[in-house]
Amino acid sequence: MNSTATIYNRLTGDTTLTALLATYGSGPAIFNERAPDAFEFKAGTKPCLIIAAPSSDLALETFTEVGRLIQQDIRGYAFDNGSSAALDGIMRRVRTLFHNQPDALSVTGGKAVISRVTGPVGSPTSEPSVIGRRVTLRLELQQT
Amino acid sequence: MATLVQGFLKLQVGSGSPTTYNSIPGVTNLNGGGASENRIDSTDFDTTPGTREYINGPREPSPWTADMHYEQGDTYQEALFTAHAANTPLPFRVLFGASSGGKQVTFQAVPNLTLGAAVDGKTMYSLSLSPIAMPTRGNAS
Repeated sequence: MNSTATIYNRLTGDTTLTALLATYGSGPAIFNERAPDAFEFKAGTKPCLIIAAPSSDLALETFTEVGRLIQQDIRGYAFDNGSSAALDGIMRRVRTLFHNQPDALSVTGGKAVISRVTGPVGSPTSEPSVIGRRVTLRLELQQT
Repeated sequence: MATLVQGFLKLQVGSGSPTTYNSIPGVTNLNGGGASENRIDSTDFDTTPGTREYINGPREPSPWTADMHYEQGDTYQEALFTAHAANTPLPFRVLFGASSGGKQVTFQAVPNLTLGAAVDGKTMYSLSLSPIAMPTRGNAS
């Protein structure tokens, strides 16, 4: 069960969200781990999303079923043009896509039983001209 | 050496004749199988001075208790709810290891189900099974 793929598919499958994001290559600027060096944060560029590696991945089992309890962040970054409204709107959309929406998630080899979100909250950046937000997903995935 | 519970232990409910057992899904823990101690004091003048002696009386089989995730529509969980409502006993088996070569404890009980549901948690049921006779332990079949 690949939680990153599940998250990526949910994000890219929402046209409301992807319309708010920058494009990179042939698709929306949704990256894994970090934004590539060729992606530039500058005035006029829409925000991007980064699916972080899981911060926690624990066994979650019953006597007869196996599953995983995964905690994973989705971070959003934007050029600081004096307002975080665009980025905040994106992160609220991300929350809507995942919070209490386990049935809407596709999981290869399993199914989502619980999907909960905390945030969005501020996310630190190493670049002063870039602002960041993050939501934390708590996913319980059951192997099928 | 210890044995991990997950994958080794199953709580099963039986049906049909001869009885066939199927695992109840969503069970997260299981406790029980004991019996209440019942020692009857039989101390008399012949007992060694300064001591007591006892005979064993009838013992009450202790209830089995389990918690399980509620899985709506599951055939075997629904059988529990039906028996609970009708106050009729079902056959149960606690299986240790494989159905061939393992050990089993079998008994009959009326399932008693209690809901536990916190708004941000999982829908859970607590299951209590009070055997109508002392459970039987033997080789799994």
